[in-house]
Amino acid sequence: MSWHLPAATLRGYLAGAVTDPVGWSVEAHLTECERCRRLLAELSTADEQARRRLDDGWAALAAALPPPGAATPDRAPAGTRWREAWLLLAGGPVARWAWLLACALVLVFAAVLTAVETSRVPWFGLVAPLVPVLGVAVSYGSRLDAPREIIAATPGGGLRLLLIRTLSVLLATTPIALVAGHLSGYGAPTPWLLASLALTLATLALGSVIGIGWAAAGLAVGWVAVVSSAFLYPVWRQPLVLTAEAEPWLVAVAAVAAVVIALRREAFNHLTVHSRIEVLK
Amino acid sequence: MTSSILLGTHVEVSDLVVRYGRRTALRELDLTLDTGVHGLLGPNGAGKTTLIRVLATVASPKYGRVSLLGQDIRDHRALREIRRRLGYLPQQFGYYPRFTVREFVEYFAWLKELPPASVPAAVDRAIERVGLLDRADEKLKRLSGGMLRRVGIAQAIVNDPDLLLLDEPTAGLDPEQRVEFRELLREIGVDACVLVSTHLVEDVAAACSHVTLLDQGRVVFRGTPDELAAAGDGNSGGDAPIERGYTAILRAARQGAEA
Repeated sequence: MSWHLPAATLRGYLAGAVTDPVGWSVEAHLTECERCRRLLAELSTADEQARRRLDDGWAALAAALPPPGAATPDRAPAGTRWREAWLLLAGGPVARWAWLLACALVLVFAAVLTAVETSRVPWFGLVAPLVPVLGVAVSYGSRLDAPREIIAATPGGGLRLLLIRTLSVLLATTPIALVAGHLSGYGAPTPWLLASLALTLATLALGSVIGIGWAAAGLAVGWVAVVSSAFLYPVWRQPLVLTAEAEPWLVAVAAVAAVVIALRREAFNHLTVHSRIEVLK
Repeated sequence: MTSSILLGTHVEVSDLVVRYGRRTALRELDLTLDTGVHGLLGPNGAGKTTLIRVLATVASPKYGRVSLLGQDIRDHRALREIRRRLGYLPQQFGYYPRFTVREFVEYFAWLKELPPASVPAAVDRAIERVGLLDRADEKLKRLSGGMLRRVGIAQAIVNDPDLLLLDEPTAGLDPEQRVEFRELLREIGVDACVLVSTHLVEDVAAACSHVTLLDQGRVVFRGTPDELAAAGDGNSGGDAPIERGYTAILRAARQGAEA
């Protein structure tokens, strides 16, 4: 330390007579400088008033501390990435039983229709890819995600949270769909699984332009139209889009959508809420 | 927190225009704010919520320049940086009813990208500052309205924001809590820029160092609470001096607009 506090300043500091900025500089210097700390200690032991104030301060501090052994409130769990992933998942609608139950019911209903119905409609293949699309639509930025207004103002609430929510929707609905599809006797799962992936990624890609909700609605209508267009041609037994031949095309759609999402990632910074004022309740 | 020291203004807005369809919510608004507690006053529909939403980077302006913490909000990289240093409590805020107080505040600590190691301490400190540490493990659905409001404030301050935006934060707080809350605001306002919208004029008089009065999407007054009180005259309605100042300035602004 090349400079030291004048004794007058230290006395002023002891007496509480300096202005805030001076007090802060004194404290900043004291943390660095042992010589001035020692001088302050000497001044304070010599000064009766200062000594009393110091004693009172310690007594007040001791009184405010919890008694030894008293129950301290539990601390927040350690800050790990696992904890982060768990919390971000738990916030989404996937963590709600009502939501999971709704998805399961839709899939089971489609499976039952497929198993019982003798018509040519591939109920299960039609419905299964729509479930994750609608799941993503309700889990990000929709009215079901109550704190979306606050989330919209956070740096982590953009594409990252959307991908976490999307992944959680896919991970939750795919096993249910696989079991339901298997039990219904519907054919190979690969075409509808790939269709699920392609439609979900396309929802995010299109959603970066028109919003996730509108994108999901548009793609759902489009999907139903594509599947049912097969019935215009009586020769086909299965809509082309749900056959093994369509698989490379579905993979291509998914890949293109993934590229679009990556290129337009900044657009997701403003997607969570509409910029209009929403009237809640 | 090791946030960089900010030189210059926290909020700099020029020629801001926000429209919802045909309705113009903010018209050519200019505003600069620095550290301190700033009160945002104005009648219903004056544009207070819209202004706060623009500053929270939630609503996008139609025209105009908005610079927060020294950076333009249109720059995507800067936006991320700004949002890390932002605290925002909307007027009506939704929550996850099955989350505990601690989980809810922690949720936003993660979304605000705090360093993982500092999350637990930051969460507990924020909950302590709003006086809810003894209820930290209670589920949100079991809390009263005033407590929920305090949870909302805790999530807003969990990242020690440099810019804190609070839209009607005192709604639902009882008088004692309001006094404590003003104390907290003054404490935060020493290093940060705090903007509080309110319709309770006495909150402004007690807690704010500066007042901005909005009417019909324009700034019609800027100054200290004392200056606002001094603007009142014998003819204006209101019980407290600051209320009389408020009504006098609104009346003058409207007469000016008609003329």
